[in-house]
Formats: sequence, structure tokens, C-alpha cells
Amino acid sequence: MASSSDEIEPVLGGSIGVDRIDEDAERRLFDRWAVELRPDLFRYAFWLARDRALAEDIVQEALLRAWRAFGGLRDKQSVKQWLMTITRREYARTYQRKRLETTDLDALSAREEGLIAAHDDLDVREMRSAIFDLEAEYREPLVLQVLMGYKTEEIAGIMGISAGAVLTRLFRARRKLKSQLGWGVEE
Amino acid sequence: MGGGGVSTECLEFRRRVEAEPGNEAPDLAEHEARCASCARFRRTLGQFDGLIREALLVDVPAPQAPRRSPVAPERRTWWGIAAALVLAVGIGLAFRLPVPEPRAGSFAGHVVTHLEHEPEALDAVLRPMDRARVEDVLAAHGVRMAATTPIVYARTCIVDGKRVAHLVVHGASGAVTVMLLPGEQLSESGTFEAGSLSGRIRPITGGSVAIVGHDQPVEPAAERRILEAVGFDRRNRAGVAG
Repeated sequence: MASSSDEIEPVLGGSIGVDRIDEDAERRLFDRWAVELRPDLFRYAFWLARDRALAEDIVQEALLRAWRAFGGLRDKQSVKQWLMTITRREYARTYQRKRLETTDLDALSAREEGLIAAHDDLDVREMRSAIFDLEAEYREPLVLQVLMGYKTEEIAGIMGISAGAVLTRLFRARRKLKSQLGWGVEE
Repeated sequence: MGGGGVSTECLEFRRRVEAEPGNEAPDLAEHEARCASCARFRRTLGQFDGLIREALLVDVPAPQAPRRSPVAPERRTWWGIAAALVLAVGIGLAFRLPVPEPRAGSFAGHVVTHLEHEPEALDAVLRPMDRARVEDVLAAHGVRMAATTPIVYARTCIVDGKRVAHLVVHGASGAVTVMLLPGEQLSESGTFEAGSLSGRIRPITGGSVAIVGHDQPVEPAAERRILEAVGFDRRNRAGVAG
């Protein structure tokens, strides 16, 4: 997986055991991961919620929760996936609290029109709009695969579904986008 | 294939790479090497995925001024903490009587511990469980719930050494955890709060029930709907007084 968390070096250098570093160092380590991974977390939250303000809140809450639980974390290689899972759970909590108006797509689109249109390339804008309209079950694995670089088994782990179901959704997601954008579905 | 026709093998190749454009399985590479049409398909798919990636890369806003600092809570000023405490105490005194935390070793305490260790149950609001699986769990406990109850999660769990049906109901008032303990009427009943959880335990005909809200107390109307929807089978009622 081409994960940015794989590229993060420990603050104390070398192959430290995370359980041996002191609290300040642990805080700096968490800070650094939070800064480096925030763009990924925000984009993941945004494409889950399709709401920029809500995505910011979700990421902030997720990082708060992550910091509280950080002392128990021992596997730094899985930090990114751990944070993604916390972000996803935070989105679920927000969803169950607020009963997000996921069916009111027009209102969501109108609210985020500026963000969707914030690109010079018309093809990208049209693609962004098409992804925005995609059902959540197709949108999420696509984000995890294309943007986050996760493998099928990792996506299955994050979403709690089988690898086969992930592949089916990814296939259908691309088919739907192609159909919507008039790329044609080659057979 | 080489002449532009699409064989079953080509269809299989395209189905697999369209789900996993980065799939470099040897059989796919071998097919691609001898099928110009599928090689072209994969190149086009690469361009398409590049467009998807570009579209997903929305601008990331600068970090918010944190309402609460995730990394340094102790940096809050004492004045801020004192003001928050005064406000919290004032609101608490003005609007409600204190709700007790569950006693250590009580069933409520075990419920709280269980929920803290099974947070994934709430993920079901995004991915509701099949109703058939829900019914299987209910049947295993001799429990009936009205078919209209929006149960998104059901699992048999052990809480305080007792087998309970752990449910998550996702209705108009948000997600509510419902724990059903058939055939046993708990002596403890009443409300409790622990962290973001707030709930009530009460005996009902044929067993006991715990209803727990997450982040907010369960609205009385929602609690009433849940209680009206629950029914324990006769076999559970035999040993308990209604």
C-alpha cells in the first residue's frame, strides 16, 4: 500500500519501541502523524459526508478520540488505517446523532457547489460531480482504493464487508461513472 | 482477441481490472500481452482512474482553530476551565437532578463496559444488518420485536455473565442501544450516566431491558416506542413474575 503513514519516521529516530518513548515524544509523534494524515482524513470524511464543514468537525473529533486512545497504540505502521477507522466511526456517530439528510442530494450539491467547481479542468469538475452523486456504498471503496491506495483486503477490513463485495462495488462504481460521463462501457 | 473481438477471457480480464486497475496477476499480464484490445482497455482505464483521483483531491481547508486542542488539553487556561465548570454546574443545577454513574459490579456498570468495548456496533447505522439475521438473534433469545422497529444490529453477547440480545435501533431519534435480558428480572432499575452514555434499566414482563443513548439521553417517546415493541416469549415468562 502506498500509504503516507509508511513514510513517517519516528521522532526519536531509529527503530524505537513506541511503548518506551516518554509522553512528550509521544505527543510530538501523534502531532506529526495528525498533521501528515489530516489531508487524507479530511478528504475521506468529506467524501463520506459530502459536507465540508461536517468533514472538518468529524476529523477534529476523530483526532481528539485518537489522541485519548493513542497511549494504547503499539503498531505505528497501522496508524493511518487506525485513524481512518476512527474517522469512519466518528462519521457514523455524527450520522446517528444528526440523521444526516443523505437523501436530499440537491441540497448537498448546492451547498458544496463551490468545492465541486473548484478546478480548471471541465472533465475533473464533471467527474467530481458524478462521484458526488454516487451512492455511498460505491463512493467509499472508490475513495479508499483510488485516493488512499488501499488494497482490496484492507478496504474490506475498514468497511467490514467481504473482499468479494468490495470488488463488486468497485466494478459497479466505475461502470456507473463511465455511464454517467458518457465514456461508454466497453465489452 | 488480437483481431478486435471480445472473448469470454477478455470479458473476465476487463471485469477484474475494472475492479482493481492495479491488479498485476500473472494471468492478467499474460492476457494483456497478447490482446491488443484489452491492453488498450487497460490504458484507457488508467486515464479514467487518473481523472477519478484528480476529482477526489478536493482542496483541504486550513486546520480549524481547535475548539478543544487534540494534543494539549492542559494548555487550556484555568479561566476557561473554571468558566466551563461554573457554566456546567449552573446548567446542571438549573435543569436537572444528577443522574448517578453506575455502581461498580452492577448490571448497568457491565452494560457500560460492554458498550465501550463494542463500539463497532454503532457502525451498523451505516450498514444495517439483514433483517433475517436480526430475527435469528431475536428468536435465539425468545424475543419478539415489532417488524417496524428499525433494528440495524443484533448480536448475542455475554454481559455480567448473562446472555443478552444486544440490539441497535436507529430510528428518528438517532441510534439507541437496547439490551434484552430474557427470563430474568433485575432487582436494579433506574437511570444511569457514564461518559457519553445515558440509559435506563427496567424489568418488564418476561425479562429485563436496558435502553441506552449515545451522546444524548433517549427521548421518552423513543423509549416508550421501544418498550411497546418488545415482547418476551412465554418460555421466558414462566420463571418470572410480570
